[in-house]
Amino acid sequence: MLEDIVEESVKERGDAGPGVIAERRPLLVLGGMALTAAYVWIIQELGFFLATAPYVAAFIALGGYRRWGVNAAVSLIGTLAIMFFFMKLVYVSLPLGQEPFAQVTFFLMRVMGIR
Amino acid sequence: MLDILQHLGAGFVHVFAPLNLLVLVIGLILGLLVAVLPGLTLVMGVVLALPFTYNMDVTAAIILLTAMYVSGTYAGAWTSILFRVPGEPIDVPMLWDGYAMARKGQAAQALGWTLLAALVGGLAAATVMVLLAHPVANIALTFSTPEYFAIIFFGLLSVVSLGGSSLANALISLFAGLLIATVGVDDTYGAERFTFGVRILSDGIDYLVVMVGAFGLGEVFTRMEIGFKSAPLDSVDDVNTRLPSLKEASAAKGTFARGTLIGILVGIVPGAGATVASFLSYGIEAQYGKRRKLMGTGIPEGIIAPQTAATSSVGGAMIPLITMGIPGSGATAIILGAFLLHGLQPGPQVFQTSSHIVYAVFASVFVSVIGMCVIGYFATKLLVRVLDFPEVIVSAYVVMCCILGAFAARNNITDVWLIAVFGVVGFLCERFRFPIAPLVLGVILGPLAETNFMTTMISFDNDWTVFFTRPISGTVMAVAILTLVYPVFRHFRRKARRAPI
Repeated sequence: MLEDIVEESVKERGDAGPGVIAERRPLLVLGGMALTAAYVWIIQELGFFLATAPYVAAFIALGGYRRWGVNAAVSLIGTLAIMFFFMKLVYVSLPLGQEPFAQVTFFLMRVMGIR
Repeated sequence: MLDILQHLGAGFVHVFAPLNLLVLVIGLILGLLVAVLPGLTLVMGVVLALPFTYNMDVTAAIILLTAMYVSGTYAGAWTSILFRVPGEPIDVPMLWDGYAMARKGQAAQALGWTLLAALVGGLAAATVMVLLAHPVANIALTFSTPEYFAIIFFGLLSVVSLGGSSLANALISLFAGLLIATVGVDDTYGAERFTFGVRILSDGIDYLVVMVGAFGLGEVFTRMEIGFKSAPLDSVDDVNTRLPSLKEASAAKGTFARGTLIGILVGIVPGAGATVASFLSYGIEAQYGKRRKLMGTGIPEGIIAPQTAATSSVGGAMIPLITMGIPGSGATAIILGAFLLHGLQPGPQVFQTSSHIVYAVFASVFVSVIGMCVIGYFATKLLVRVLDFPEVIVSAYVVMCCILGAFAARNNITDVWLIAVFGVVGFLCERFRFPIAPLVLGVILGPLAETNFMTTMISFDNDWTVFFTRPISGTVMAVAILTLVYPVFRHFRRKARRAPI
């Protein structure tokens, strides 16, 4: 009986918001998935910062956002902020990366006063 | 009674400690923002917040997540009413009367009714939660494994039959979830199942990994497929909240009561959460309400019914979580995860071992409900502005937080790969109309169901009838089977009617 009520009330009113999908872009999703896979693949090699900042920037660009200055600022500052938060405040260890990339991570950690 | 009040008083003292209060306010604001953003659901928001609590004290961690959960049931209504963009699936019923009311030029009144509904539903459910929790825990102390199994079984089936969409698809989704839950070393006999020689898989697949992947990453991929484009927003110059007068409010007291009751009951059922509560409450109001004929034309009852139910489901869902360790909804599953991460197992014994934490969490629900309404009253205009923020940037960070959360949990890259895999699974489910909630629920409740089933089999000499012959488990099993059989029966009856003779 309960399902009846739910179903009927929903059927009566088809409006589920402006959810009409104009076009689907399967290639874009595949691109997003490939990009994410690449990111996971490389994060231990490059370290958190060197992998994440380009990943976020590329994701935003892939999503069709074309204000490059904003994109660069958002991806750089956001990545640094998250790195600072996790490593300095909640002590979660993030991938440092292999040499020589680890040097970049260590440099950033020194600059931000982590450890 | 006096005892409960005393404990609750101590709970409030804990909540008002500066650090906890700060965490609570942050949680409220995050919850409201998550609720406003259509690309970010409430459950996903709570999942993403989890890694940030790893290093917190257990009380603060639970308060943060609970506050997000409470306020996440509220703010999505604003965007439904103002822009016809439901911020959460919960808020779809808000389109039918809330948006209609706004179109009649009564947006401020609609927001006022929403606020009052959230306040009344939230506080009433919180009161019921406090009053019921201890007695329920005392009853639960007498439960043995057959009762636990029966309750979990009911939870698994309830989400299937209340899902609304195709029953077959919901069942397939649920079984896939149960199958995923079997991966790893079996608890009773130590046999390896579906590990394919991969060491990390012998630890099993953590339900948080599945949740982060399917809800978090999957949702981002889904939004990506439509190019992160939303329909242009209606322009709204004036965002105010005008509360209804006492007389107007008391005229709708029946609706308030029904909505709250439905919300609490749906919340208590393990598995079904705020979305089911909201739809069900609207449906019942449309069939049995005093002004049922006018529902959908923009009357307050159409706002009160879903909103009271959505917010009151939080209090309901906390009851099985705290008293039995069985999550009553997606968000409570994550809160359960947070409890376990901090080495605290919710269950009937928790009132003896850590009652101060439990009552602090209870008190935080009260404070959260009031706090979110205060913030909502003054800051609706400010908070809905986040819709102007490019969604793709939020999504990029959501993906990053998903991966970060996976990595932080066990410091293992295999978990991150699993998240990516479940992200794709979540996307495909959404794309081909398999509901994700039963899958996730299967992964969460599957191990609980199995352990209780196996322990029962061992203690009762493999006698499966014990589930049906013990009074409590027998009743629950019967109700559970009815919830599954009834939709099937109805389906065939309708088919028979339609078929030419």
